[in-house]
Amino acid sequence: MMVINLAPAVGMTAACGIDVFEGQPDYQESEEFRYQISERLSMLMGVAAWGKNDSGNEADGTDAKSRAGQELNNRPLQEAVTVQEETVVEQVADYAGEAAAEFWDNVEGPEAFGGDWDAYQQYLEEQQAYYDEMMNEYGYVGAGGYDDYYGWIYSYDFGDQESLDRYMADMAKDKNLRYAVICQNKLLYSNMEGFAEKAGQEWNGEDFSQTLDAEAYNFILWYNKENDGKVQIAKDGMEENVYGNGVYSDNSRWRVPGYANFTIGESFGDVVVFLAVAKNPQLYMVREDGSSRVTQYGGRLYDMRQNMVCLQNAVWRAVFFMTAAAVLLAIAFLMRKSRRQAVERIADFLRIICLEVKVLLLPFLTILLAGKSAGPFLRLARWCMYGFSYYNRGGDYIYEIARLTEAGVYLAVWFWLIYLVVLDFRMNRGRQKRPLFDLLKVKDFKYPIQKRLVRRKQRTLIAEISLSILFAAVLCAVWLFMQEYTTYLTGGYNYSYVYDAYEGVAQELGYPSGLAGFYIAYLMMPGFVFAALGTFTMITFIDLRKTYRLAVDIGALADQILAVREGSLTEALVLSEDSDLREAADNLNQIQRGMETALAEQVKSERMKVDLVTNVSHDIKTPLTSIISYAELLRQEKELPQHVKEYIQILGEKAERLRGIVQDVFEISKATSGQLPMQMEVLDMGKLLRQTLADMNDQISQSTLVMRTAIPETSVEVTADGQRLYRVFQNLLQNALRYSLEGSRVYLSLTEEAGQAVVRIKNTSGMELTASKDFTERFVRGDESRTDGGSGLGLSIAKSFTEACGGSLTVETDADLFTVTVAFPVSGQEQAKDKVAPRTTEGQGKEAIQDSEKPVTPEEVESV
Amino acid sequence: MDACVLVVDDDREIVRAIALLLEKEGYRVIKAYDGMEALRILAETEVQLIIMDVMMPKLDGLSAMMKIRERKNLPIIVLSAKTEETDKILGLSMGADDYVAKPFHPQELAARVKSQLRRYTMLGGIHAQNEAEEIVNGRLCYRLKERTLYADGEPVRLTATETKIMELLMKNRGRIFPAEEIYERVWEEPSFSPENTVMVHIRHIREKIELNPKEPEYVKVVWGIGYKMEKK
Repeated sequence: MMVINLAPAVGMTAACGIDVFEGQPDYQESEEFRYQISERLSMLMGVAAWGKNDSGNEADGTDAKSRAGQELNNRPLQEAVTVQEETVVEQVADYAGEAAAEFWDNVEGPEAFGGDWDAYQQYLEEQQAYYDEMMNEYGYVGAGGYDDYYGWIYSYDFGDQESLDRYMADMAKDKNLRYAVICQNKLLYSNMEGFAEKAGQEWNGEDFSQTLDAEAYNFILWYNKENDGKVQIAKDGMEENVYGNGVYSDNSRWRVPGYANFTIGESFGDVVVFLAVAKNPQLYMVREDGSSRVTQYGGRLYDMRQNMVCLQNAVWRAVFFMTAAAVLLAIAFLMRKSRRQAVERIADFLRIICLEVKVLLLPFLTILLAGKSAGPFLRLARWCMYGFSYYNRGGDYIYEIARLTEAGVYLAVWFWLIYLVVLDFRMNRGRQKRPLFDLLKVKDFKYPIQKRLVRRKQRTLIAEISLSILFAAVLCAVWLFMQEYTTYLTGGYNYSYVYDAYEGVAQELGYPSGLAGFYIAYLMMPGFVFAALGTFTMITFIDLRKTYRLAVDIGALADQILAVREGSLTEALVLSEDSDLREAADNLNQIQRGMETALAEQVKSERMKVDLVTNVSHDIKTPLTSIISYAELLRQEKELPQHVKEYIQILGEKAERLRGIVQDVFEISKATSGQLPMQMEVLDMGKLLRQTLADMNDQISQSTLVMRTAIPETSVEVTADGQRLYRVFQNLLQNALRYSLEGSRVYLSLTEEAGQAVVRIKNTSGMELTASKDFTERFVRGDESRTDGGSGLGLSIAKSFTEACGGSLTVETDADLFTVTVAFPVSGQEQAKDKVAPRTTEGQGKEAIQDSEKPVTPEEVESV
Repeated sequence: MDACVLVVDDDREIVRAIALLLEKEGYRVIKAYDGMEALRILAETEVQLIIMDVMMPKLDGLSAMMKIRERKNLPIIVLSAKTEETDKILGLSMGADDYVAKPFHPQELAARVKSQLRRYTMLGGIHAQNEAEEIVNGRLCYRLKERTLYADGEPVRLTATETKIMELLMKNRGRIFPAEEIYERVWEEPSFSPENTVMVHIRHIREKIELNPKEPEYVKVVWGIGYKMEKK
């Protein structure tokens, strides 16, 4: 960014006009220069005349002396009025300049004293003394030298030879201006090498310019060289026509004696003055012996040239920016159709810069720019308030424009800064590059969730601690400030740490605008506090938001786990990408998918099994039909021998058994795959057991076993398919009858335990039981030889049917005690759990319940 | 009896076995081995009953049955190796009068043939009776005045208690009676553990009226609730 610091050019009473635009400015061409030189000449002439009078010519000299003295005294006084303001801004480049400017703004003009010059002089002296003190305090050392016109007034009174000598000695130190003053062919004063020490000696008409470097001192002036009372000026070796048409007017270039209408008294007739001016004036800093002060000599000419250079630069800048602005405007106008595109390009470019850089850069730029632009804006504000000519001296409008341009440039820079920030915020929100944040995030994500949570808490803790420290620091700073302020109020002087700190910063960044910056720094302190507070609040807020989101996610995860438990396997849990539980959710989803796949596989394989069994049983059934039919035909044959009839009997029985097995296998495969149609209804378990026992009464009575039953008279209602449940108990009882020890007892009991209807069938096995055997597996039987009548499917069918009805069947063996427990939820309790009822039977079951619960009134029965 | 039965099955051995069985029972049997052949025979010959397998080449049993039902109203017994309820319901709803699952017991098939033929030949006669005096339920008919139960038009010999039970059940077809209620109504005294008593009688009745007592069609146990007469 281009920061322009226009060194203020001051006191351009002359309109430099076109000169400044042509290469290296020649300050010697300025009117101010000519004015200065005339004044110097006049002064030196005065000095020579004064010296002449002092040295003897009493009568004539008094007149001359008083005239010269009056002239000398009056001139500075008059000039002080005008020059005062020049000086005001002269040192604005220095940081103390503002204070100085302010100071001199408040100095009264001579008119306030009503022409009382003595009083005014007195007043000015006081002011100068105060000014010097103030400048001293700022460490400003340039004031009070011979250069300053005030010096004429305050340091030298020319009342005596000593004072004059002191002044001339000071003047001699200004090597920018070489001079020689001759009176009555006697060299009075000179600061030229080889002549300075010859003061008081005879002048033999030597040409002083011969001893000087013509390049360095390109301006030579002689007064009265040829004893004609005229001035000769040579610049760069070229004789200049000083007098033009020989008549002095307001437009004349040189205000020197020698015109037809501008002559000077007789007393100057034997005075010769030589002046040589440096082409590039320097500053001469001289430390007086025994003084801590450094006095600056040659400042006027130096500043004159310096100001011109600065002005030229300023004008160049003004021209440059104006041109650039015009060109840009023209381009903007010509390319107005691709404006949107340009805006997008800019936004794209801004996006490339990562957020962290921007966040760091923006405050820095803001502070820097605020510091730099405060001065120009202040001036702009003054222009606005007091009119354009507030700083204007002698109509130097070009310079004014240059300064306005400066303010304009700052305005433009501010505008673009704000525009870019707004544009960036508007266009690139949410899609910023932010590697550092992302890095933090990514780093965060590498940790498992528990570590992440702890880290987050740690971060909050650190933020809180930092906040506490910051508050303590602010308190200290405020306390310090209060101390300083109190000291200030009570008039004491104390070293200011705060100011010292500010000074350090200001030197780095450039001074904003004088003392104002010091207070700005104080104002910025709460700003920093608020920024820090905001940051920490943000950290806490972000943490809170993350915690909230985590809570929501935990809820969702818990719900999902519940849903999976309930059997919902299709809907996956989708959490946002940066969720802490994302991984857990993904894992759960995978489990879910795995379960779903496994279940699907299982269902598929079960279905295949059923299909296989169905097909196989179908294929068996057809030949079996023939077997049974022909066995029956054989059985009907009358003339067969007895043993053949027995064979036929066996054939028939085995064929029947095969039929049973085929049917059983078919049913069990359907039951286990959930394809068995169910008729669920509310029924009385006790009644069902009694019915089953009654149905099997013949078998039971034919066996050697004794049935011991404990079935309550009160109804125990369960929801099940009665037909299937009958099959269950039929199988269980048949099992008991078939495998029990001869003459032993079979115990059947029905109890209600914790909302469950529990049926227990206990019997003593006829053969030794193997403890580890699962009797409910298909084709598993106590006797491995398979010679008995059982298919090995009885218990398996019982279990499948029980489970299909929503109950549970367990087999326990204790030594030879064989216990089968069938448990069903009691109907009242069952209702709530309807959801978990077997899949295929749900609808049918409900309808069946409603059907069976429809009461049949006695009237209905009677009416039939 | 000289009723003519058409047996249709692609398994020649089964057809032959059925034919032998039925001929022993005194029926005239015509054999066919696929649906088309059955249709052809039906067009030429007078047949009183058809026994037909479902799965056959050329024209399957169900399609053939639909063709037959377009013109004739004779009883059809469907044979199938498929024992699922849905198959049975499908067969019956498409016009079969009875459904016998393979492997069947020859005696049962013979009984069903007999039952169907009886009903078929007696159809007009049943309707001639006064409807108020008899309750008809499928093969069964209970004549209130006579206090007699007829199965396929033949009187069934029932004991007095059995008759009472049947009267109760026939009067309230489809209604489920708990054993207690049956006992109280039939024996007309309070019941105490009636399950066994009622069950014994029910079993006896089944053996008398059901074609296959092990898989009863009329007097059914509603397990865990009671007993009922299936409404046909």
